[in-house]
Amino acid sequence: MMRRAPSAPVLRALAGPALILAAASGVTVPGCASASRASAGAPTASAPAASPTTAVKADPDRLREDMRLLVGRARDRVFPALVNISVVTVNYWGGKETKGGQTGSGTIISPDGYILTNQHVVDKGKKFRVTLADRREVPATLVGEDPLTDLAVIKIDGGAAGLAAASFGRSAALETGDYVMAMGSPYSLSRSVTLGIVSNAERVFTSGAGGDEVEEMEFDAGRTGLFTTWIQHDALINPGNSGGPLVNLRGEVVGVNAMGGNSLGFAIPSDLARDVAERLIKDGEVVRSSIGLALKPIKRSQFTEGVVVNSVVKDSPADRAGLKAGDLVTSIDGAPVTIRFAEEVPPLVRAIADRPVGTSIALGYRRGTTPGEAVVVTEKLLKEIGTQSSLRQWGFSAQEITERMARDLRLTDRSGVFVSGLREGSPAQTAEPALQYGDIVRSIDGRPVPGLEALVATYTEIMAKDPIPEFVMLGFDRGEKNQITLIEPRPDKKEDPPREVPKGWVGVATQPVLRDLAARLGHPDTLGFRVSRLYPDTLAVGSDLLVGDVVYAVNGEKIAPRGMQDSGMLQRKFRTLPTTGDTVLSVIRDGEKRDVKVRLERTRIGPDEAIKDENKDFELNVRELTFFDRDDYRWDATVQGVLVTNVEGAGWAGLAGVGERDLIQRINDHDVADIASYRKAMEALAKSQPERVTFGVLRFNRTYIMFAEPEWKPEAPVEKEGAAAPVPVANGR
Amino acid sequence: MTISRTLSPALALTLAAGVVALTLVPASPAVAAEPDLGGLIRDRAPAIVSVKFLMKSEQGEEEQETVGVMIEGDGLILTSNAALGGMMRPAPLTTDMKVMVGDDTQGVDAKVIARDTELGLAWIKVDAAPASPFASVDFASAAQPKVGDEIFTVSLMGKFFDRAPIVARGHIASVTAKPRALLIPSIGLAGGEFGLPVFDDQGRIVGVTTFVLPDREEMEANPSGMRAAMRGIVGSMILPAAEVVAATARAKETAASGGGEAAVEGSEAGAGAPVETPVAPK
Repeated sequence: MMRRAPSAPVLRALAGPALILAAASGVTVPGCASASRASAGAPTASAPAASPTTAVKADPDRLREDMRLLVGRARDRVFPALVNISVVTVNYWGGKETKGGQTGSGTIISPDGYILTNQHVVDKGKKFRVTLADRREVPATLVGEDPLTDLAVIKIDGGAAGLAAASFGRSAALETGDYVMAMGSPYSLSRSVTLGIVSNAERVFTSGAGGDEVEEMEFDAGRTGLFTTWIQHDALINPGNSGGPLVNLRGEVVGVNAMGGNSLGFAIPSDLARDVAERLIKDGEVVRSSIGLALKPIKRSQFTEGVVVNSVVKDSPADRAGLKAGDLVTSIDGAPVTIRFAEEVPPLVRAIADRPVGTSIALGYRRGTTPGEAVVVTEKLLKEIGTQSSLRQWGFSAQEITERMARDLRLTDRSGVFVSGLREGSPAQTAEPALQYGDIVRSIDGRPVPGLEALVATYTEIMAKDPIPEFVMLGFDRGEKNQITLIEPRPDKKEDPPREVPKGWVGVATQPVLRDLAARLGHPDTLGFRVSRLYPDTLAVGSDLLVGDVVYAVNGEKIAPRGMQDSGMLQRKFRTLPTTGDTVLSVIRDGEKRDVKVRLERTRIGPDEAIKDENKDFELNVRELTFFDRDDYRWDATVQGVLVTNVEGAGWAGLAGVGERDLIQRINDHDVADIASYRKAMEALAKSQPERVTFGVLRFNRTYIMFAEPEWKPEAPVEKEGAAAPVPVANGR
Repeated sequence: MTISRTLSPALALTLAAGVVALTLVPASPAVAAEPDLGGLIRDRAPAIVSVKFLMKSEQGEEEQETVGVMIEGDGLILTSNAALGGMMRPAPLTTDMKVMVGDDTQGVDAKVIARDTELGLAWIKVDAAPASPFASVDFASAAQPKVGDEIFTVSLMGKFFDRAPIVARGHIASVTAKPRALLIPSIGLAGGEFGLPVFDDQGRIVGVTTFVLPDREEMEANPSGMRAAMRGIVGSMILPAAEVVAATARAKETAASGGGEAAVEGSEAGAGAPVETPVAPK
C-alpha cells in the first residue's frame, strides 16, 4: 500500500505486478543541473566533439559496431551478477495476516553473495528466493533495509559457488546525455536490457507553485527519497525492474532503478547506494542523526544567503535549542550555508543525517534581523512505520507506536499498541464494546502493555493456559476516552457442516414429456418424464429401468408435467418417499405400459455438506469428493482423493502450484483416498516436517506432480511481520 | 299451535304459513370477535427465540442474528435455513451459536443439527438440557386454514428494540399443491421474514414461514422469465404444520444418526452412521 504526497508526480515503484503510470502534469520540474558539475572520468560513446563549424565525419557503420561492442561489453560485465528476486510477503488487512508475493531485480555486489535491491522489493518480505544468471534458484535472507533511500541488501543463504559480482561506478560523474542501460526483470522477464540516456542526473521532486518544496514520497514502509537526487533516464523500465542496476557503458553500476512510467525512469545514484549498502552489511541498519528541522530553499524568499527553517519538530533537538520556523540558518559549525534550489536540499539533509548520533552541531541563524546561534545535539533518527503482529485468536492486528505515529496521532507518548485492523466477526470485533481501528491498547487484565513485545508476550501466555480464560479484559484509549472491554477468546476448532435431511432418491436424470412430445412418441394422452440417464454406481442401474422409458406414475400416482416449470416434479416426488425400500414406476416403453420396481436410496451429499479440512500450515482447504463431483468430472469410482476448495497463492501449497479444483491423490508416500487419509497424511507431515513435500494431483483428467518446500516453524498464535532491522526515520524529524 | 275452526281454511292456511314464516326468519348475524393479539403475544412470544451466530464464508466471518421458534421443551428450535446462509453457494458454516430465550441476553450454546434446504428449514439444538422445559409451540396440534382466513405471525424485534415481540397480521391468499403443499400469505405478512410460526385467530399453529425456490433443474429449464414464473410470491410462503412435523421427524433421525463425519463413499451420510454403499444388484 503506498500513499503519495500531495501533488507529487504519480510515480510508483517498479516491483511487479503493479506499475502506476507517471502523470507528467502537475509535476514541477526544477531547472537543469548546475553547469559546474564535474564530468571527469565519465565515459560516453566515443564520438568526436563537434563544433558548429566542424562537420562530424564519423562512419555510421563503424559507430553502430562500436556501440554494439560497448553495449555488449557492459552487458557481459553485469549480467552474471544480475538476479531476479521473488518475495513472499506478509500483509495485515482487516486484522488478518495475508500472504502475497512480489518480484523485482537485484545486483550481486560481492562474491560472498550480498545483493543490492530496492527496499520496496523486499518490504514485508518473509521469504526470499533469488534466481541467478545461470538459472539456479537459491534462498536468501534479508540483511537490512533502508526505507528512507528505498534500498535494501539481501544475502544468498550459505553462499553459492562461482558468484560474479558487479562493480560500482561513480554516479557523480554522470552527465545528461550519457548512455545508460537498465537491466532487470520487467514483468518477470528475467535478464532483460534496455538502452537510453541520462535525462537529468540530479532530479528532485518538488511541489508548491514555485517548485521550491522538496516533495516527500511515501511508500508502504514510510517516507523515501529525502536524501536522493535521482538519475532520470529514458531507458525503458517496467514493473519488475525495481532494484535492478542502471549501468554505464563501462559496465559499472551507476544507479539502482526504483521508479518509472511513461518512458521516464528514476534510479538511485550509486554513490548513495554504495554507502547505504556498506552500512547495511556492516550494521544491519543505517544509523542516522536527526535534529528535527525541515529546510526550504531561499529561491522565492527575500534572502540572498542561508536556508529557511520550514518547520521544527516539537521536543526535537532543534526545538530544545530554541530554533523556530521562519528562522534563517546561515552557518553550520561556522561554515556558511546557502541553499537556493531544491536540488541542493537532499545533500545538505544527508550531510546532517550522516553525522554520528550525539554530535553537537552549531547552527548560526537569523531571526528577523537578530543573529543567534543554536547548538543542537543530534538524536538517532527513528523508524517511521512500526512492526505489526496479528493476534489471530483475538481477531485484531496491533502495531508498534513509533515516534512519527505518536506525533501524527497526537499521543503524549509511545506506550501501548495501535490497533491496526480487526477481523470481522472476531472476539475483538464482537466484544461489548468492540475494539476499533485506531484504539490504543494500554492494558490486559490490568497489566500494562508498554509496547508490542509485551502485548504479544501476554497474549501468548494467556492463550497457552488450559483452559483458556473465558474473558480477557482489555484497557484501551479511544481518542481522549479511556475504556475497558471484555474479549471472549475463541480457540480454533474444526467445525463440520450439518447434514441435509436425507430423502428418497432414484439415480436417474429425466426430461419432461409434454403434450406435443407425448403425441409424437405415440401416447398423446399420457404425459410423464423420459429417462435420459441412469447414473452409474446407483441402484437405478441394477433395476429394469432403461434410458428412453417414460415414467408416468409413481406407486400408482400419476405424475404429469404441465410445462418445463415442472422439470423437477419427478425427483420431488421421489424425495417424499422413504430412503430405503422399493418404489414402483409405471413406464411406457416401446409403446407398451409396464411397471418397473426400483430400489430407493438416499439423496447424495452435495458440496455444502461435504466434510472439509482447513490446513493452516499449507494454507490449503479441501473437502471430500461427492457423487456429483465425480459426475461432473467423469471420474469413476476408482478415482479417489480430496478436492481443493481454496489455496493461498503465497502459501506452501500455492507456491508449489496446487490450485482450486485440483484433486489431491497423493502426499509424499501417502495415498489420499478421502478426508480421513488426507488428515492422516498431513498429521504425519507436521510430525516429520520434511524439507520437501510432493503432491500428486489430478487436474481434470491430467495428473501433475508438485513440489512444496515448507518452512516448518512451531504453530504460533502470533504472526509477526517479517522482522526488518530498525530503520531510521527521515530528514530532520 | 291451535288454529280456530271459525276461520276460513284459506285464512287459516295463510295464518299458519305466516307463523311458520315468522319462525323461519333467522336472527341477525352475531359480530365476529376481534382476535386477542395481546393474548397471542403473551401466550406465544415466550417460545420465540433469538439466535446469534458467526457466519463463516469464503468472504470472511460476520456476526448475525435471526429468530427461531422452540418446538420442543428440551431445546429443539426451528428456524430458517436461508437466515443461516443456506441459500448461499457454497453455504457458509455457522459457529459459536447462542440461543437467547426470554430475557436472557447472553444466550445458551447451541448448534445446527440438520438442514432441509428444499423446505428452507434448519433445526438447532441447545447443547445443555434446560433445568425446566422451555416454552414451545406444538406443531402437532395444527389448524387447517383456508383461503381468506386471518393469520398472524409473532416475531422479535432487533436488539436495539430490546428484542420485543411483534405481531403481524395477514390472511391466507392462496393454497398450493405444486410444487408442494404451501399456504401463500398476503403481502407483507411478517415483513418477509422466514422461520416464523404462523397462527390462526384462535392462536392455533398453522405452519412456519419459509422460502422455497424451484429445483435447480427447473430453473435451468426456465432460464428466462423466472420473475413471471414466481408471480404472486412477495416475501415468504408458509409450510403447513403437518409438513413441518414430518420434516422434523426426519431431521431428528438425521441428527441422531451421528452428524459430522464423512459418509461411506457414494452415499449420503447421516454423518457417522455406517450407511451401506448402495450397490446395484446384478
